[in-house]
Amino acid sequence: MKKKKKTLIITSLTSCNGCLFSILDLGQTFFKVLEDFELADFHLIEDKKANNEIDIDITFIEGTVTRKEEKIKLKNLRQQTKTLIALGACAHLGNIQKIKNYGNKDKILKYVYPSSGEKIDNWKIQPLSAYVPVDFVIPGCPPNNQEILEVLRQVAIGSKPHLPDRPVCYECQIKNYPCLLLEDKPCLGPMIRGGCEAICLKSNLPCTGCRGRVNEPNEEKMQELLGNKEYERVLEIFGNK
Amino acid sequence: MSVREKITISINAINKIEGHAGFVGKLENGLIREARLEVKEGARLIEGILIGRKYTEAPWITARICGICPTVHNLTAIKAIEKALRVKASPQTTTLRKLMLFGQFIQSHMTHIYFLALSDFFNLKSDLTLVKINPKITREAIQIRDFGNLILNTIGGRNIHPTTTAIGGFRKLPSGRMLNKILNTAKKNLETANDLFDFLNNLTFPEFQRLTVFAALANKQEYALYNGQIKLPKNKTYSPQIFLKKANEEQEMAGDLIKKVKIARESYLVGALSRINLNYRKLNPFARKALARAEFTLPCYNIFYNLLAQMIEVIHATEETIKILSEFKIKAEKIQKYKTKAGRGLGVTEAPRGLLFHYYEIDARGFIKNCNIITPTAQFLANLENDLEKFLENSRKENDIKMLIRAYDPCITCAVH
Repeated sequence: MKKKKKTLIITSLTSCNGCLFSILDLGQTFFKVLEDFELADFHLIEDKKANNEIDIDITFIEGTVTRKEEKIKLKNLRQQTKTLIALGACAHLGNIQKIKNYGNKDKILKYVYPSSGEKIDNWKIQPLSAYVPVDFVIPGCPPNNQEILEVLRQVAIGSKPHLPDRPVCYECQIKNYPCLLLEDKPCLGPMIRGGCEAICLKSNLPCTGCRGRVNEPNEEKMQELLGNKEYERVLEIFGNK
Repeated sequence: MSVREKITISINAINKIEGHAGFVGKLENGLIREARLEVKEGARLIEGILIGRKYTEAPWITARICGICPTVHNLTAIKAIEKALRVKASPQTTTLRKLMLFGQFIQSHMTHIYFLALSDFFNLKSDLTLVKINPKITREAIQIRDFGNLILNTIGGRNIHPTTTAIGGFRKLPSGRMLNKILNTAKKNLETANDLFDFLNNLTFPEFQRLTVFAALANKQEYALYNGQIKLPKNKTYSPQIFLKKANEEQEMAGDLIKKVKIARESYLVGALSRINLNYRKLNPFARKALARAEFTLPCYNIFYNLLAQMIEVIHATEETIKILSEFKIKAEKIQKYKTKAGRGLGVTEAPRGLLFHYYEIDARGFIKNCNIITPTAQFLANLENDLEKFLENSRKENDIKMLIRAYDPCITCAVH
């Protein structure tokens, strides 16, 4: 007997939508993988109305809750979905839009909208897990689409999604990229979760932490290496502070 | 006395665009009173969060304004900061950045043409059906899109949110071998791009037009994407600074998230169709030939032909890549040395959807004091709404309205940012 296909939603809240485009970057492979699913909603490639009534097996959601409607959307999706996957740094950490949390939010809002800042619904940024239970996180800004593919394949056959939890340094050393910490550059590699193939280090760009912390990071050592101020500055970029 | 007949057309979600928006149209006694796009996402306050941060973060953070055109935000921020710090990029750096722009255009245009817009022309709701009924076109479109990504990955380090670019040069240069791979792939793709153009050219395009003003970058040497003056019809040109004095950003209503831009209170068009209208003389030979075969004549005011204009640009960018790389030899080059100092700089480029401005004011310690980012969609949104108003006279069908909106290729995440 043919097994029933799993139902899948891929969607977004406030973000750059880059996670969704990194899925499209899988090209033909993505269309092939989709054959194993019943696609219930992916607003970038389909023009159909989202159906809040049906049961969903897996939802990938990127972006942050920035206003009331988005919280409602997220809560509804949670209710519908068996496995809710936070996709990318916005959903996981808050990403760049969380920088406003570290300053004076009202002043920042007023800077952008001088005449009507107070009329704009603009929430403090939190990870999706602050609003609803999240079953799994695919980290990164953007996420590594090979990891997305891996997770899609895992959930298609009903296994629990899993990705390795190793620091960026692990992959950086395997690839033999020069260590930027040794050059006194503010690289968060030792405490940030890899899986990105150390792609920034490949370009001599220090890790700024888009994938969030590993389990049990040695923060004290990191702080000591970078200096308190610099450490805080880099942590703020993707909402790690 | 007759009763006033009021009709509201409301579309809650327009799928297959970048970001989230809906549509509201209001009619009274058959007359159109309003046609508006409604933003359905939040503001990330990009300019606000940059204040007080180091200027070096601006290109890294602003790339994240957009997942479909991050490279052009990154490069425009870099250009603006280089202006502020009076850093002059080397000729090699400029060439590599131009190549990145071609990659960005090819990737973004193909995403729009194939994934977002094409289904409309077959009256389909899903790309998954499009894949099934037209595997050849799917293969070709994805192949060309992959080529754009190859350029971005090779030179930019990554196609989404580049890693190699820096103020004053590149952190890492592409190898000659990889550039050669781009050259060979470009040669292979040129014919495919031509075929795809002919396929698109045979589609049925809705008849619709409304006169408007075009604006685009222009320079004497080339089909301007990376630098130039701002050109308007009748050969009027302005420096970017003067242009921005004429082009006013404003919230139409309190609480609007997008600040629409108008020139002398009139809407204008930016993007592929605008560029082709103003700069077609600078197109490369195959792109010129494609234009000659096109189902429209210039000046063209029918936005549905934006798809063909984008495809012509894909051909042009492929040719330009071949032209540049046939004579290019990469040489080792360090990032230029420069000092942090106070200054202000305006950077402008053509993004796939049109003119993009980044402006930064930096203090002597390197912190951002002021900044402003004006995106293509914020510039053409008023034009899109004016088109919609006129379009409603022909059709009030939901599918037709969505098709017109998608033909513009709006990027709501950019427009709000």
